Amino acid sequence: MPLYIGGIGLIIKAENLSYTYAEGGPFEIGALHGVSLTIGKGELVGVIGHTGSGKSTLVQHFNGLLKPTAGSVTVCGVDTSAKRADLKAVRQKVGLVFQYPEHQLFEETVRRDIAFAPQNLGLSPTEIDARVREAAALTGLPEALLDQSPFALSGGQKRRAAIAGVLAMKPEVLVLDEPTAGLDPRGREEILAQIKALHRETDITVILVSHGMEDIANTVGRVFVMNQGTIAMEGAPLAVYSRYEQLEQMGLTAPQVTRLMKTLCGVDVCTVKQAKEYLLGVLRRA
Amino acid sequence: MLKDITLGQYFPGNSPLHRLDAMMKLLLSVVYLAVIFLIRNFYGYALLALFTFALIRLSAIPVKFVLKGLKPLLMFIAFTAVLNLFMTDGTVIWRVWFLTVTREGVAYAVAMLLRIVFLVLGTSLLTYTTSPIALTDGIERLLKPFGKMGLPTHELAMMMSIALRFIPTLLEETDKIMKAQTARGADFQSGNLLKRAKALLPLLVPLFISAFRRADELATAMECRCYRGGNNRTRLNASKIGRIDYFAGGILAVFCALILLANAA
Ligand SMILES: Nc1ncnc2c1ncn2[C@@H]1O[C@H](COP(=O)(O)OP(=O)(O)OP(=O)(O)O)[C@@H](O)[C@H]1O
Ligand SMILES: [Mg+2]
Repeated sequence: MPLYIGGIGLIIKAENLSYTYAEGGPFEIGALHGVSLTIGKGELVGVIGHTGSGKSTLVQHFNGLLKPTAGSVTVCGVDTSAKRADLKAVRQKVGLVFQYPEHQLFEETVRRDIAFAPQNLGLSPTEIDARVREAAALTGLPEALLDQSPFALSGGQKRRAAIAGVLAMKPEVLVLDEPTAGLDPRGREEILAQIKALHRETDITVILVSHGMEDIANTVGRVFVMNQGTIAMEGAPLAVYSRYEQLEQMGLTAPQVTRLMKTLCGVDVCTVKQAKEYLLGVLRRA
Repeated sequence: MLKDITLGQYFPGNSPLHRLDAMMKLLLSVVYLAVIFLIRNFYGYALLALFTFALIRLSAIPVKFVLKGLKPLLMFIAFTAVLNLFMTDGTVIWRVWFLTVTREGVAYAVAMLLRIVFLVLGTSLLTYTTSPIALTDGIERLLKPFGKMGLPTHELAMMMSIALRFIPTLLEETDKIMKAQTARGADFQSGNLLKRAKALLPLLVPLFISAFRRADELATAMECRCYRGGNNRTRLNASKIGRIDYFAGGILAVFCALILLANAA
């Protein structure tokens, strides 16, 4: 797994980032307070945190949709709050899949909806067609569905179509805000597996926001834990999950298997697979 | 851009203006709005400005926030003023090319501008200090006499309160969809008029779909809770007209008298 080392291959950097919604109004809400982080090129990182901890707010800074109230965010070498920042270029490089992205579908057919982003980039019709097919294949949408209305699809299929709509931009960084929320276990696993495969096969950087502690442990190499608008912890899933008492104080629960294995054998694991390997090792030695 | 729309927003607080009974506040607001059109001279407008400013101070709402309500209407206000400036007949004081400015035109344009500004300020002050629920309750009570004539007052009030309730929700939804489409390279801000209108499609289609979905869900939820119109319904917080309301009425009466006096000056 490619890891960020020193300043090499840095792709996203936030320094002391703070953000306040409705600044100056009666309903002012401070959503982020002094967040600093760096994400390296080709990394697959996760962001977890309780509801309202600022995950969505944070990732919207990564493609310049929100600009810091204080501090700065640098994406692919561009300071997003600079006066002449080319945000269009940044948005093309950083594809952001929103929470419940199926709410953004609008075209008559799935094909045309996926083609919306490449069209906005001004690509040729053949290139657009190629990208639509590729994106549909990557998200596991069968060809046959492409000419249906997006509103006739099932929830999981709509989700895939919406993700494909962002992938068709061929972004360098893919940010997914809870891509599996509201899906059944099978759909969840399929989408996560596709994200992992995409990351393995291309040099794309992926940032995955999720509530599913196990999903994160199974998928990412590094995880940020957000708590009340700040980054409370950061590190490999195993290192973070082993401090599950602290996580519980932040309204998060480590995977059951982590707690079970800690109580049973006093070891730190964060996935069922790791637990299985450990137990098999113990059995073999016995 | 969306952040500037303050219409129908409520600014919670506990000022005397907030505590006024909603029906009384509505009535007083109507009087205030009517008085604006009675003013004949500069003294009247000075008085009106003073009175309005005092009300804003009394409401404890930041002046900046109240003035923000004018921002979306700036184009409209400017257009009206300019139109009046050039289109009024009278003594010519300035002439360029085909445009003539008359003394009456200047006076009329300024009066028009001031009227719109104070109309907006007055109504914003009403919605800022009255929660949507109190407001529709006030409207319902005002309309009650017409109910006997067959006007579905409760239904009208309900429709209004739902509409008011959903303004912020729809704005939030618009913001969200706009962001999602911007992330896919949509551009809502540049291009000519036709291009911009076309660019709205990816925004409007999802917005309508979600609005209809919400309407459907709300209707179902209301039916599930056995909602059925206004007959024999009682309120949890029945509001009554009290001392503070009579006091406010008195102050407004004095203000009206002063305006009429100023007109005579
Ligand atoms: N458009 C908005 N306007 C005002 N406040 C907002 C807006 N969006 C989010 N907030 C507030 O900012 C804070 C952080 O919200 P955010 O959506 O970033 O949380 P989150 O971690 O993504 O939560 P969830 O897991 O529920 O998606 C919350 O307190 C929320 O109420
Ligand atoms: Mg979120």
